[in-house]
Amino acid sequence: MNKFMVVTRQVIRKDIKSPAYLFSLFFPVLIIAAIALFAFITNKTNQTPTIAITSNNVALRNAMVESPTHGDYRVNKAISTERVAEKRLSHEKIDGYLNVTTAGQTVSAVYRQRTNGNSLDSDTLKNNLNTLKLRQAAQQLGLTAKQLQQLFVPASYKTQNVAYQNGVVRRQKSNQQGANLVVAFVVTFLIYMFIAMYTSMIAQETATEKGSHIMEILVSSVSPVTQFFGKVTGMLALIVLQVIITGVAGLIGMQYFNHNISFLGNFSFSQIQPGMVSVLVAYFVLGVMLYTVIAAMLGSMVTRQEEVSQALSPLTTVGMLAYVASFIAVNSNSLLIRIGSYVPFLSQSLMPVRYAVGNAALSEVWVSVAIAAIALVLMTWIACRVYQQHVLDYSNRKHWYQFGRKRRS
Amino acid sequence: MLTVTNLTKRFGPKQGVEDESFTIQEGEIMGLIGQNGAGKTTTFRMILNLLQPDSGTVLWQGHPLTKADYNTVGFLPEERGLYTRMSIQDQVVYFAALRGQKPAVTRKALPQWMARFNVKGKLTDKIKDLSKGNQQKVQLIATLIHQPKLIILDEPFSGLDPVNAQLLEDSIIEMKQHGASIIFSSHDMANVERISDHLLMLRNGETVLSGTPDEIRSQFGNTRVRLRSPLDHATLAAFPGVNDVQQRGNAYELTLDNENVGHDLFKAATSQGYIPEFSQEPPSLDEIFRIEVANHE
Repeated sequence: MNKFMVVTRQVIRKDIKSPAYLFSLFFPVLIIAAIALFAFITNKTNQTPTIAITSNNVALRNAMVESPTHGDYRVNKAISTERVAEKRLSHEKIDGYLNVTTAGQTVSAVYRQRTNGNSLDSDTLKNNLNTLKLRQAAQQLGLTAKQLQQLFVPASYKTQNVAYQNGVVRRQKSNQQGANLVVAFVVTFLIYMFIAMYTSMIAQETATEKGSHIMEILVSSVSPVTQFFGKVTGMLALIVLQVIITGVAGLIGMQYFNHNISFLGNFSFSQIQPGMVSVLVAYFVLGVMLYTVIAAMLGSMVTRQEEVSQALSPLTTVGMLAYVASFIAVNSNSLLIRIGSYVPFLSQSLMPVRYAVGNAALSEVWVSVAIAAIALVLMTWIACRVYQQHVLDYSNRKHWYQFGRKRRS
Repeated sequence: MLTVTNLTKRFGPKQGVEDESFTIQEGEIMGLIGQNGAGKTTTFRMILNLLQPDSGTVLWQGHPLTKADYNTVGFLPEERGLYTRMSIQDQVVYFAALRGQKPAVTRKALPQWMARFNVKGKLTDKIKDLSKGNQQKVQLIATLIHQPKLIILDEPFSGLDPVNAQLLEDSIIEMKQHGASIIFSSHDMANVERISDHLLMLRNGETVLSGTPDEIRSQFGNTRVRLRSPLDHATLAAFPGVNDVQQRGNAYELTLDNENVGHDLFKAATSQGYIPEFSQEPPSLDEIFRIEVANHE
C-alpha cells in the first residue's frame, strides 16, 4: 500500500467514525424519517368526520345524502331531524350536521360542528349543495341537462412560461420551472452546508496536526505533497459518499411523500430539465472541493487550533454571500449575478438557480463548470505549495505577510 | 552512517546552528546536549530535511536523505503529538504504515512492545484516556516499532520516571546493537553519559564540546577530589592548590588548581594510615555543562 493511500484511508477512517460526520451523513435520512412519522401520526389522528344531514325539504335531503362524498365525510343516514342530530352531536356520536332550509327560491344551509370533533373539509359538501340547487333551478327554468352543462363549461385558461435566449424563445413545460427551482434551491442549500462542514473539518484536522506537532512525524514520513493530496482525496471520498446518501434519501423521500404532501403532489422527476442533475452533481463536487482545498491551505497556515475559525472566516463568508445571492438570482438577471455565475467560489450557488429559472442555457452552464474545474486545478496547485511551505512554520506572523515572504524566498 | 558537515542555519539575526559537523556510525549513539535554544531541535530538523540549511550537508549512507529513506527513519519530536481520539493500535499502525510497515506486521509486534515498555492500557484504549507517561511510551513505540536505521530522539527521557527511563535506555541500546545510528538530545547528563558513544555540546548554535564522554571529561583534568579522612575543613581550605571545599555529609568535595595537587593531598590525608575514601576524577558532565554555560556569560 503506498503512502498516498495510507493517508487517504486514514482520513476516511478517522472522519467516518466522528460523531459530527455521522450525524451530518444521516441527517437527511433522519429528516425524512421525522416527516414520515409526522405524516403518519397526522393521518392516524385526523379521521374522516361523520356528519348528519337534515332539511325541511325531504327530496333535497335525500339527494344530498346520496351525493358523492369523495372521502371527505361520512353521512349517518339514520339521522333525519335536527332535534336528533343536535342530541347526537351533544353526545359526541357525530362530528357535525348540516341543516338545509329551503324557502321558495332560496336555499340556506348551516353546518354545526363540534370544536373537538374531526374537522370537515367543507368544499365537497358546498359543491354538492350548489349542484343540487342549480339542478333545481334549471328544472324550474325548463333547461335540459345538456343546456345546463353548456352553461357551465368554464373558459379555457393556461399559463405559459417563456425565457428568451439571444432573442430566441425557449419554452419550458409549465411545471418544469417550479420543479427545477425546488431542486436547485435544495442543492444550493446542501452545497452551502457541505462547504461549511468540510472546510471546518479539513482545516481543523490540518491545524490540529500542526498544533500538536504530529506534523513533524508526518512530514518526516511522507512528503507534504503526498500528504496534501491524500487528505484532499480522502475528503473527496467522504463528499461523494455524502452526496450519494443524501441523493438516495431525497429520492426515496420524494417518491414516498408524493401522495402525502400536497406541495409535492404536482412534483415529478420527469419535470426536471434535462441535464439539471448532471449540472448539480458537477457543482456539488467542484464547489465543495474548491472550498475544501483552500481550507486545507488555511489550516496549514495557522499556528494553533484556536485560530482556525478566524482564518476560515473570509472563506466561509464568501460561501455565505454566494448562497444569499442565489435567492436574488431567482428574480434578477442583473450583470452582477450573471458575472457571479461564472466566478469560481460563487458559481456553485448562482448558476444552478439561473439555469433552473431559465436565465442561462445549458452551454453557458458548462462553460461555468469548466471555469470552476480549471480553478480547482489551479487552487489545488497553489494550496499544495502553501501547505508544503507552512506545515512546519510556527512563527506567529500575519498570514498575508507570511505568504509574501515565502513566495520570495 | 550519518555524516553532518559544516551545517549552518540562521534565523534572521538569531543564530540557529553554526558550522556543525559530526558523524554517527552504524551501531553508534550520539548524545546532543545544550541549553534550551542551543540549536538541538534545529539540528534534528535539518537532518530530517524539514528545514533547509543555509550551508553544509547532511549525508545518510553517503547521499542526501530523500523520500526513499523516510522508511528507515524513526523520529521522536520534542513536542509529542498523537491523535488523541485514536486507539493505541490504530495510532501505532498508522504511523508505522507511514514508514512503510504493513499493518499486519505492526499489529503482531505491538503487544510485545506494549509489554516491554509496560504500557498500562489495552490496545483499543483511546490515547486521550492514557496518562501522560503512557502516551509518551506509545509515542516511543510508534517511533521504534518499524525497526528504523536512523533514530532521532528529541528529549526522549523528559517526563519519564527512573524506572521507565531505564526501559528506554535498554531499548536504545538494543537498537544500537541492531546496527542503528542513533542521535538523541537530553538535559539529563546521567543518561547521556551512560549510553552515549559520542557527545556533542551546543551553545547558541556553536559546537563547544565534541568527543566521547571520557575524552571530554579528561580535557578538564582530574581536578575533583572526594575525600573522607582525618583532615578537617580548615586544614583542607588552607591546603596549597585547593580552590574550593564543600562538605557533603561526612565527606569533602574539593576543587583543585591542577591534578598534581592530588598527590600532595593524598600524602597528607593518609599520613596516619588508612582512610575510607579518596577519589580523584575529572568534573562530571553536569558540572562541565555548567562551566561551559558560565564561560559564555
